[in-house]
Amino acid sequence: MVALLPKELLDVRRYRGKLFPRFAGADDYDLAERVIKTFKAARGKKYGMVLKALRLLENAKNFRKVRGFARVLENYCVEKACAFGVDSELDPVEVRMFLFERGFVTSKKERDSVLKYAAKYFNTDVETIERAMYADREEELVVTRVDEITPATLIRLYNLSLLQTTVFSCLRLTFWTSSNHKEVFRAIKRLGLMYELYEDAGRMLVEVTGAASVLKMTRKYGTSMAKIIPYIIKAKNWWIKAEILENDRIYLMEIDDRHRDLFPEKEERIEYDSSLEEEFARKLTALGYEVVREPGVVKAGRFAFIPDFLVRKGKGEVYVEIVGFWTPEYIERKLEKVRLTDIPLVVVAREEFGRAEGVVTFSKRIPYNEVLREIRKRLPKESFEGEVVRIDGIGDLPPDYVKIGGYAIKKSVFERLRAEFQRQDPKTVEEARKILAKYGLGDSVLPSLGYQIVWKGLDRPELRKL
Amino acid sequence: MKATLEYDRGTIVIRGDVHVPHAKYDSRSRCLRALAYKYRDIVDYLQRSGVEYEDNVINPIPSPYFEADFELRDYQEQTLQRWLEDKRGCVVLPTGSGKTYVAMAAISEVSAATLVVVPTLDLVDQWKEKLSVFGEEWIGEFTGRKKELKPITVATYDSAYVNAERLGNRFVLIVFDEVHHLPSEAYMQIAEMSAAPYRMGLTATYEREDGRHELLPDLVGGKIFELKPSDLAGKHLADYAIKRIYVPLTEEEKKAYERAARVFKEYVTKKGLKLRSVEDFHRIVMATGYDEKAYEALRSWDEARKIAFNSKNKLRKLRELLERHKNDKILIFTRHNDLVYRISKLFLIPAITYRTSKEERARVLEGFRSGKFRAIVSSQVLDEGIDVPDANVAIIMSGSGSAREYIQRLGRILRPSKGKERAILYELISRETSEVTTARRRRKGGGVAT
Repeated sequence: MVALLPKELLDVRRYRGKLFPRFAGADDYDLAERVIKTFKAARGKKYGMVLKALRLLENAKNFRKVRGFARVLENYCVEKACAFGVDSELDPVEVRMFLFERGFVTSKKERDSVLKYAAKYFNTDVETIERAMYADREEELVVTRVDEITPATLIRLYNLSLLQTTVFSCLRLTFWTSSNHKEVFRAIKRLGLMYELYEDAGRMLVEVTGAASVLKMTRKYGTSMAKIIPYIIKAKNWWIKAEILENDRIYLMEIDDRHRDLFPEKEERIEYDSSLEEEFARKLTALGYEVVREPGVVKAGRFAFIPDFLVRKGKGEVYVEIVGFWTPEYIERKLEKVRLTDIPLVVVAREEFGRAEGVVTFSKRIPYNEVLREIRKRLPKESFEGEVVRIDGIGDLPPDYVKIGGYAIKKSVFERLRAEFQRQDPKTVEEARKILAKYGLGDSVLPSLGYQIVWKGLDRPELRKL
Repeated sequence: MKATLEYDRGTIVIRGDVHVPHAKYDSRSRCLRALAYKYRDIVDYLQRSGVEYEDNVINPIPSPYFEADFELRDYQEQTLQRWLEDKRGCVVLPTGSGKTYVAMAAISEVSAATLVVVPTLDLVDQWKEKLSVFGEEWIGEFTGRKKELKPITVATYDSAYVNAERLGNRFVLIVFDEVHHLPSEAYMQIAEMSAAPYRMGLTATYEREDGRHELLPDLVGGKIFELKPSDLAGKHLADYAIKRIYVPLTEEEKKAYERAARVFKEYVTKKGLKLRSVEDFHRIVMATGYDEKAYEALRSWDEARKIAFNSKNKLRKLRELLERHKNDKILIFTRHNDLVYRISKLFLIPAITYRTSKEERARVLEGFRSGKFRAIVSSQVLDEGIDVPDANVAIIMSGSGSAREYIQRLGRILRPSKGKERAILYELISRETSEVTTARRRRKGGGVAT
């Protein structure tokens, strides 16, 4: 997926124990464009020419970028092919084997005569033989295809490669992400890495190492760590710290989402839709809730929360947080804060990290029923200021109300209604509806009063006593 | 509670109320952890101190009893006996002296799952062919092209490194061919992450320029037996002569060389640098990141070297030598691929570089063996492990300052064979250039009788 740069092209600045990748930016736009043009101009020409032309672009300051750009570009959208063997019958390997069998030669005369013989054998001329001999060498290959790519995209791809290459020499990778935990966590497992979690300023940091890291400083896991990077920077908010060993010195490299624009756009990273967060928003919206993603920092007293969602229903608002990495202590502290501040917050957490009271845990899929129950508990009680309230779903009712049809009705009111129905004993639907209208109620109450509407035709409903 | 030992991704996890040497507490998994290669020490310790323990570390690939008889030469037998004393250690024998047979005899003695680690795919093929005397069905390879786990598995250093965590507890014996490769920062982890209690290293050149061979006693076991080419020449190895030919640059090359060399020298003098070692040189390379002058200096140095390495007169000299040895089997070595292809095109000699495909390489080598081709030109890849029994002339067009590379290139023509009288090694050196020093450096410490 990503072109990795060889060590000698690693373009970084080291200063007082810190290491800064020299990311390409607006100033390098021209250079990126020239590299792209060099390749485009070489369509149908030899790759060796591209190499020569690129060399001319290089100077002491930019040579790493020129070569880095070229490498990323080649990996991304350049195709090379052997000019022979594709559109001609001549196979370079066969041509040279034929020549070698008649070699070696030590004079021009001898050489000419071997070449002539070969030309006759392959039914072509000497010049073609000469060209075909090593036509499959990289320098002799012909650039056949260069895809469209903008300098901006090239720069972004290069920057990601540079960041990943920097992490190659990493001893320990520490990071935080606001979302996309599932993919990150899976990647860590799949790559055989180990992790430890710890809390810093209210955030759960993940520290990634390998099995042998406690025993020796090793860069063996750097390659695997580099592979996690694209998943981390896919999140909305993230922070990465890498401890990098170079020439017997440990350098720190830190970077966070303020530099997001340096890297490829989301869709060029990995598809987004499968994420847990996306699914959550989709499901709740379908159930008639209004869902706001990443509503920002919620302050409550001296605490601050950064919930993932704000779920709204009528005037009620509940926050939901899906916790990626956690320890029981972390969750406990979080819940304690919630209790102290009275913030309506539902915490949903992966169960790989333990079990905790007051938290909805899950392994593969979020149990939406359970989550909805928790959300409803925290939604303010429907305002039962009136005697009759239209409700939907099952909510908790105040003790002096009953749920009938689509309404919450004060018990005393319902008794009055029943009495009135007995007294008037309506015979038609119109009569029944007239009484109901006085109370602000609709047809769905009728069965509880012992009546039923029966449709005889499309527009001739009859009222029947049960 | 009984202590338990388990293998976990290149490490040994120790649970239970015990203390063992080489282990550290790991808060991530709340246990003691040690690098896998300390397994033998840890078990020794537990046994000595009478601690009860359950050992689940080695999960070897089930293997048959290997039966094969080898007729070993006296020094090979001596080497084997020495190794069997502790079943650890490095064997230093010249190329062509049959190191492989010592290892195979060891495999036969141990008769348990064995991993052989070698530097190149060519060597993988050669080892597999030789090991097939144990029964072809028991031999597998673990490389970039195939991932098999068999009782005797041959792996490249690269694949063994990438999969070190996975391979570490599947073998009882681990053999490192060309063991001088092992102490690099990356490869050494093949040894560290392996729990194999028995280990053998093979090489013709134990010492490394960077001094890291000092790590070998800990990783594999120290040097247990050593012979130099001169110890075996004439009897077990072909007799040989070395001829050094100093070739002048052409007038034009000389001018270009001096111009380029001056830029580099001026930079070095101005910065007050002294170039005594590879590290000193590396410092200039590092400086190219912030110092434009360093970049220019380095580019000039590279240019100068290329002029010296690839001079026209060397090609003329090569022509002479080829004419002189029309009836011999010749190996030509260069430093750069460019020159390989130039020579190949000019003299119509088959080339082998790291870019050559496996099929073509096999075709070239087979052609050389059968006599269809009388010469091969190569950059570095031929240095190790390509079996070319009856080559008797080697021509070094250019090379690095490494003594190891030099010895191995020489080794290529020293395999004894019928009718081979005296092998000759030619070294072409551009006169009055830094190549003279480079050539001197590679001879020094090479242990080669000249």
